[in-house]
Amino acid sequence: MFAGLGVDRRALLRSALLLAGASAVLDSVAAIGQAAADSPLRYDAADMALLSAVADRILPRCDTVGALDVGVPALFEGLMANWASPATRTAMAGVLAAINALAPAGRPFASLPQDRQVALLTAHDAAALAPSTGPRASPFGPPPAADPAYQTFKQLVLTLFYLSEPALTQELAYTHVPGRWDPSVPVTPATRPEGGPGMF
Amino acid sequence: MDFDAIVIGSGMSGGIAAKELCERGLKTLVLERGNLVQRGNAADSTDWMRPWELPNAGEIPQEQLAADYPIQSQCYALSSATQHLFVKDSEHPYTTPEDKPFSWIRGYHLGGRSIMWGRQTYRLSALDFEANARDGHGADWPIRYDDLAPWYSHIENFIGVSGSVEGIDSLPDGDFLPPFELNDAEVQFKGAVESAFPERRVIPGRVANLREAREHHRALGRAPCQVRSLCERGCAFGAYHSSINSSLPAARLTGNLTVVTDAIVHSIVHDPATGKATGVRVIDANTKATTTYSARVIFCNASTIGTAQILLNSTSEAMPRGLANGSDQVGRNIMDHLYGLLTIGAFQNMPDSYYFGRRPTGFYIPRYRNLDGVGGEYLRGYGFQGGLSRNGGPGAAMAVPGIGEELKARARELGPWTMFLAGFGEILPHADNRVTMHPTQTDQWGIPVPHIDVALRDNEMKLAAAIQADGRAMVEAAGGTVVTSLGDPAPPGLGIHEMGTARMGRDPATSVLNKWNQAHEVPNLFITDGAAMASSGCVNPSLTYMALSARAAETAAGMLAQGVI
Repeated sequence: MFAGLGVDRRALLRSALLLAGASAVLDSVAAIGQAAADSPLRYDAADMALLSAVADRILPRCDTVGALDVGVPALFEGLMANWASPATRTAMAGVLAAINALAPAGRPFASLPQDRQVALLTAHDAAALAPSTGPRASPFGPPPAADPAYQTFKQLVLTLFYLSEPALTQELAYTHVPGRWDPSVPVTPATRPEGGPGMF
Repeated sequence: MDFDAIVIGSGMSGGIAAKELCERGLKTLVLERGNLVQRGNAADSTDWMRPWELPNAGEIPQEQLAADYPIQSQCYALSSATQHLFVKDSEHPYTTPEDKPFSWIRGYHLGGRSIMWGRQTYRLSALDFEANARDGHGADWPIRYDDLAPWYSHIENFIGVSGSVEGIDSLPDGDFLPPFELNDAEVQFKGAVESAFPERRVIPGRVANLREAREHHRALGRAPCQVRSLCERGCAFGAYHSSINSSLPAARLTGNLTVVTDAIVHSIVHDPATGKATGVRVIDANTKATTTYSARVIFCNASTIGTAQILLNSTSEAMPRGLANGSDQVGRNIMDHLYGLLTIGAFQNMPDSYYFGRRPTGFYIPRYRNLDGVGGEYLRGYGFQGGLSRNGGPGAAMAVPGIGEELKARARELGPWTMFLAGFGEILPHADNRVTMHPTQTDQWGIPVPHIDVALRDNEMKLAAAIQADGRAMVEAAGGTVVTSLGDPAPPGLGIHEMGTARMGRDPATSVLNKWNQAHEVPNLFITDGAAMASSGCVNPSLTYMALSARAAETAAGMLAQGVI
């Protein structure tokens, strides 16, 4: 009934459960959207290993949650299956292929030692995000970069991570119903930037 | 007669017209071309969705966006959480000249765009109502500020407007709830701007969100704003004004309201013998069955383009050019506000403090140019909406290269204060900025589609340049650095303040409506949406549409009671 409305049945069920007071243990990966089990757009094991390695190097678990803890690889796969156009899918596949090619002698990037992955990806990231004179995609977005496809890829990974409940509420701060406007709050070492839908 | 009154359209002005007519004892039918949506229905209002629950992280699938929403996707409020509140351009076509894009942003459902509106709520000033008479552009308004002032108060009290009393001539005060105060950086910015430019004022944005709920708000089930800034998704608290949060519930309480949704108005029926409108021809959006509803008075509130489309499609032997169009002004004089003129500034000199809550507004800088009503380099003026915020998170992480723990640490840091400053400039009425009926192309209901031909002209381009120059000067006067300056105005229409296609005026030869929003040629036809506007001012216009609607409803009810119409 709600197909195409951006609100699927699962989302409605979640709404009903929340209103009924169910605890928020529901899986955010399911809400944002996973690739269907039989989708031809799902990544194979090698691609998923590569994506997982890259996501984990960008956002590792340290004393706080990391990309793998919140399911970024599955979320990214879901976005590619459910949201991305063929052109975007091709571009993102190209980004991953380029990272895989950083590994020597045809070895999969994911098979390299982690410190080697970090070194290679750090250099690749710096080159790809070097300032460019190209057009700015959005006035509120990042500055133009040498490799716009990689910039999009990294932005998607970060967006998915910081939209997840653990990262949004632990790495950043988020209150769904603030209930009040306080125009002046002291900054303390515990202050975190508010994430989520934005201020205005 | 089936009804005392028919109101075509349930959006911002139609909702108020219906409320005011119902409260005066008139059995009133509201016709809405879109579907039924209800406050609190989880499929209609998605404000319950937390960020991690947004389908596709808030994004609409790219191929669907390109195929179905090429125009609507230009609107900031379109996301996977609001997709159901915007029309598919593919299903509701219109045309423009190839070199004159017009962005017609629409939502077809009960409540119309009042559900997704930006809620900025400002009065026109005495200067605005005198502008056409002073500089000769457009038709002189047949009313002045004092005619509308009590109706502004009436609407402000009913809908609830949070704002501060400032005593600024170009932005009259109103009946306000307490404001959403400026944050610390905005207070500092205010001091710097008002010191450097004594004629400029930086004030809290005036917004139709309840900072406090008065008794009559609570009686409609409305609660104070929870400071979530999710407004365009609908609000379970009913904390901002929309037709489904306030005006239609108030109308329903009278027992006089009937609402029919999925009812696309084809035309208004005119009786040449009496000179009156007798009813409205409707096509069911789903079955395409036709019905004619009759009433003693008709309010047309189908939105600026929609109202013109209905009038132009209501041709008859007596009125071959369309209903109430003897002046040939129906469809002409389309205005909007200059939009997309954006200055972004970064500040290192602001207080190291923060705020709590996602305030549903920012600050406002009222018009300060040409206050003598006489133009210099350009005519009329502009105001600014803006705000200062501190960011971090993924935006900060993306600002420079880096991965790993260092990236996460950067995202956790509270970023510097950043300001956006968006200028809204007045667009002059021009007869050649018009909508006509397409000679051959029809929609799926057989109605000719609108052909919209609007261009920005010399005065608008001068205003745009002045807006950007002033924006930069204010950022720099406050010690900031301009990071981005977007000086090309957005396509007309994207301000979503389109207006003027059935203007009010004193002379039936040059205007469509008289000082009561009554059609010069059809005495029981009232038009109180944006179509009625004779000039645009530079402030967000919804409050004026609502005030005109309430005033006209009282007039119409009085005329009916006296047997005048």
